[in-house]
Amino acid sequence: MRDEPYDTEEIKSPWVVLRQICAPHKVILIMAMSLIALVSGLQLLPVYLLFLSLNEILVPVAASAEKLMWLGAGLVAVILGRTFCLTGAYYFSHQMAFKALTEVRLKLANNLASLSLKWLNKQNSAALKQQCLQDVEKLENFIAHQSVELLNACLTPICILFALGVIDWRLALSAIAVVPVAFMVSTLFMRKTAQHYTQFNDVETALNTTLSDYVKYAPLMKLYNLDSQRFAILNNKLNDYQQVVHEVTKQTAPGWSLYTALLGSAFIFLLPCTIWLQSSGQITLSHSLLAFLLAVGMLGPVVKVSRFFMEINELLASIQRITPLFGIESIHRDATPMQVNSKYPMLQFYCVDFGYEQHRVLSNVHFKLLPNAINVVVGGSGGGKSTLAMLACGLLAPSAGRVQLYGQDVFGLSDSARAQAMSVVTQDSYLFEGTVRDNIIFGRSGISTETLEHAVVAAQLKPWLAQQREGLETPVSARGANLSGGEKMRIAIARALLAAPPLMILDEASAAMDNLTHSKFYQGLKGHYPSTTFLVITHKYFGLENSDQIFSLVDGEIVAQGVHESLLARCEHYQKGWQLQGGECAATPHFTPAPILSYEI
Amino acid sequence: MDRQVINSIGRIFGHVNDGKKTFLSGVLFRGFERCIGIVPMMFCFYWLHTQQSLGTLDGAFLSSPVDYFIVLVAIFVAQLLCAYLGQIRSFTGSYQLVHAYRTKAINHFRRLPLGHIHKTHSSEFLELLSEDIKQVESIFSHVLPDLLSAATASVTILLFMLIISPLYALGLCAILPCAFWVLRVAKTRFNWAAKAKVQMNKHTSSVITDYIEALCTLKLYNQTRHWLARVQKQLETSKQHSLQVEMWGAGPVIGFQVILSFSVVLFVVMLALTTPENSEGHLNLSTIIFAMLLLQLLALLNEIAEQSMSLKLAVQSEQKVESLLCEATLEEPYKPQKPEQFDINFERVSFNYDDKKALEHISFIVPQGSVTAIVGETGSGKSTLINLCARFFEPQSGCITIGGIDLRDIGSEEVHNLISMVFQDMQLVDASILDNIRIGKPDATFEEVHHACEQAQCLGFINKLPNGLDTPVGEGGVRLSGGQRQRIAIARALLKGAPIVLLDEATASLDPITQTEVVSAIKNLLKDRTVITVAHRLSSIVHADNILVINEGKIVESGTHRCLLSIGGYYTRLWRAQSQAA
Repeated sequence: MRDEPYDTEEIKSPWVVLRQICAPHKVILIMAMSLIALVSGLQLLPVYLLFLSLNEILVPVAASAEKLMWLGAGLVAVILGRTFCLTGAYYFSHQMAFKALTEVRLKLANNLASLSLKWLNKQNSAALKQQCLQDVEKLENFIAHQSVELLNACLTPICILFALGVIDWRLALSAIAVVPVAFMVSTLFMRKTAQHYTQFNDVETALNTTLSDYVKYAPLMKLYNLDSQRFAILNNKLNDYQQVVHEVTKQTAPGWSLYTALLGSAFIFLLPCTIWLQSSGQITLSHSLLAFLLAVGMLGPVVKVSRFFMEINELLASIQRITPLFGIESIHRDATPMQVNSKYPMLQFYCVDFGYEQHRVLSNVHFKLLPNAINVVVGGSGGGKSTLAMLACGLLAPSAGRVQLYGQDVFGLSDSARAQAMSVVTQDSYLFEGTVRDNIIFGRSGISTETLEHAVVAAQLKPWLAQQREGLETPVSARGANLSGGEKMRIAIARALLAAPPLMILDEASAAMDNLTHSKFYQGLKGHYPSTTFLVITHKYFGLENSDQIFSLVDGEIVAQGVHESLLARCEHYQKGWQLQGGECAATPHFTPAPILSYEI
Repeated sequence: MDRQVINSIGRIFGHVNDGKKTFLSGVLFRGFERCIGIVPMMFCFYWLHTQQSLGTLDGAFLSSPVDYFIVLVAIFVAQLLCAYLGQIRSFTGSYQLVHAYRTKAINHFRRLPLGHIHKTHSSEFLELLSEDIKQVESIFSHVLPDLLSAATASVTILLFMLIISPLYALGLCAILPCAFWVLRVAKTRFNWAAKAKVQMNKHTSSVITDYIEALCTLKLYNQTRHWLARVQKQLETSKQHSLQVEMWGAGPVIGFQVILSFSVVLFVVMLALTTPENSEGHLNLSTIIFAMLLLQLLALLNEIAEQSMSLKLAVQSEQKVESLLCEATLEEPYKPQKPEQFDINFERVSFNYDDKKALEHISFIVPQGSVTAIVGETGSGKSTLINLCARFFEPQSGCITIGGIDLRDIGSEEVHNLISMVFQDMQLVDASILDNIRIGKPDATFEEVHHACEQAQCLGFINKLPNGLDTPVGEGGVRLSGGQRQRIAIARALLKGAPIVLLDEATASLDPITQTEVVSAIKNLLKDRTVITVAHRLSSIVHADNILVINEGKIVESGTHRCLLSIGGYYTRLWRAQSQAA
């Protein structure tokens, strides 16, 4: 069996992925970063000008109002300049964020399209949605805001270091000493929180799963009087959540407190150092004043990044989740049409075994389809019918044996080859927002009115359409929410029939039809589509009298095969099912149903 | 902070009792922490002061750098202590508070009438109870403590500034209202931007969600490319709009920051204007400390502006949750009455969905221990009738009684205690089989569960599973077959052992052999109970004590099977149609 690239991908560090995401936008990134570097320098200028003004009045002799006014004008210019640069930096960072966001989403969507059905079938759609939506969304805040703010926070102390370094290097070091210490503390404590975050994330997901059931099954919750206390499963999860939160708070609070307190205590080294330098005559009083002012001015940008340390774990976890899907190079499957080789049977199951983990579902299933005929697999629920259908259309790959279409493994077919060779009606065919006609035509071009009519009639959609005022133009809402299960199914059947493919697989397609329609449907299929091979998977025993070949599937094994009469004679299981459903061995019409079905009350 | 925000926080405080005090004390400590941050500046000032008046202040209590260092370390320790207490208390308090709030919302949801719940897609409620409450949580755990402590510190600083130099301080105070005025004026624009962003995200997410849901079908029909193009188009439009919206939204914040920064200019100008008069030494010193405080104040005010923006966004979530909490629940009796008998009586009951008539003047009696079946076409109102009986809806007119007592006087909780119900969708929770069955009776012993499983014909397949009763059923019970799910739901109802059973039978989708097993499980459930059953297969109700035939919301015929067939009316027609098909 061929491995999907998805499975073999090694885990990359999220930072590498982040770099990969940002790489195509280097130019914008550099623009944003250079502007913010400019801002880091410019934001010290107002402080410096303020210092000059104060210095002016500190030496009263030379004080002049005019000079102060000039300083004021300079301040205005500097502030406007800084604002301009800052706005520019944010503009570029946002531009990049939205570009990256779009690109990542598009790449995910493309990769989803190129991966095999077999892979897709294994995924939880909610998880995929989360990756494409919420997880990618997290990138926005990081690229648009935090990247810029982080750089500013790092550069500001360095600028101060240089500015004061001109006066005295010891003064410079003492002014910014707390910043590296604070960053170190936060990095240390960040490492610890990575585990906490996973823990927190786990309990939160668990809680949301149960909450989802809670809102979905509101009648159940009402009926059993289940509220947050009495619904034991929910209550446990709420408590788990609460407990983990409590634990995490207890563990992280010391680190956090140290970080914030450190950031607020810039003077702890600066003031003693200034006093010492000044008393030994190495700096002047106005130098110390400048150092004080710069130390206060530094706080703004540095405090701003604390959010980054709070949110970084969430970002990394999100990137980690999208990495596998993001990382694969989209594979271009060859779109060559399928080679129809008459040497091979159309669809064949060759000694197929299938199991989920330890649980075996199908064992040694072995059959060929009769071409241009109705082939039926009939069996009880839990007997492996749906698995068989999924194997037949390539949603699953067998654990052992082969499922082949004209000699090729079905799960390895490209989408176009599969679509050419077969149509599938599953129990959860997707109906999109539009009209009934749109949903049946489904984007295919060159469909004549006759073909459409033909499919509509064969799918037993005609009587229902006749009742609708707008006929084929009747609107359908997303997921077919405005239609009943039976109506949805019949639209899906018409959609599948429209392609008139060589093979058509119907998985419980007639489950929601009443008995009368059900019989009509199967009788009609053969008449309308004589050159199509049908594989019908069903649990209903009536209406099968005219099928060309019937397989009886019991507990994952095919126990008998043949036409209706021969199965009735040979297969005990089939006979039982047939009788229970109201059939009798003698072909007489029956109006009284079997009494076993009624409740003896 | 505007009124909306204050109202929101006030409402949350009104809803809960737990954690409020802890939270507030935590915020207080964090305010202290910020205020202590100002003290080192005072020492700078003090030192400069001693430098200026070197001669007169000989006996200053702090002389060497080491003295200053010790004092500063002491201040730092005090700050650290406050920070720690503040963090612990505000976090613990906020999580307690939100836990209570979340619990309240969860419980309120359950008490809403089912009709109201079904009007909205369940995913919206889920978002409300998970994402939106998480937003509310962030208000208390992060935004509000930061905002309030920054506000406390800025007020303190302003007070100091007023003391040091009332003239300058008042001058600066003039600029603050200007800055906040910009924010206020820009509120509409900001709200617009926020709304536009939400709208766009919603659109993008619906396109992507549809794409992912449709993917399997699309692949089977090789139509992925068309949809991919659609996704691409939506993403591109959204990219363009996002940047615009973001820039519009950012405008006011930038304006606010510029105006705040101009306060430094104003300060310098005021210095220029006042220089000739204040040329004496110590006054100059006070301008220095004033300048330092001013810089600190600016940093704090910028932080306040940013936090209040996040607060405004988070408050939108609170408003959504609040509108859920405001939805009226069914009226419950002050003193619930317990019926002794379990006969059910409908008296001229009418029910409408909004303006659509569902049931009209329905009257019938179900004697205790008898079986009544309801027959009718899809959409005739059968399920509505069952839902009314379970008090999921309240009838617009008429009354329903159990044992002669009106459902309204029995109260929802007691009504639900009296009723077992098997739904068409089996409603299995993503947990183990045991957990699912125990829902019927949380304190059931293992023997009771075992017995219920036996009665519901579950033991056969449960014993075959590798982990038996502890096997997880998966989301919506996907790991089990339809028949197995039904039998687990029946076992749950059996464990509950309520005297009344409402049955919405859905055996039609099962194969005949499983069907017989489910039917015999149901038979055990119905033994000696008062039963109302909705029948989809008429063959299953030939022995019912009474059959109600419903058409377009009215009872058109009633009687036993034999009696109804002898009339030769609507029921006879239905019966003929079904038997012919089989």
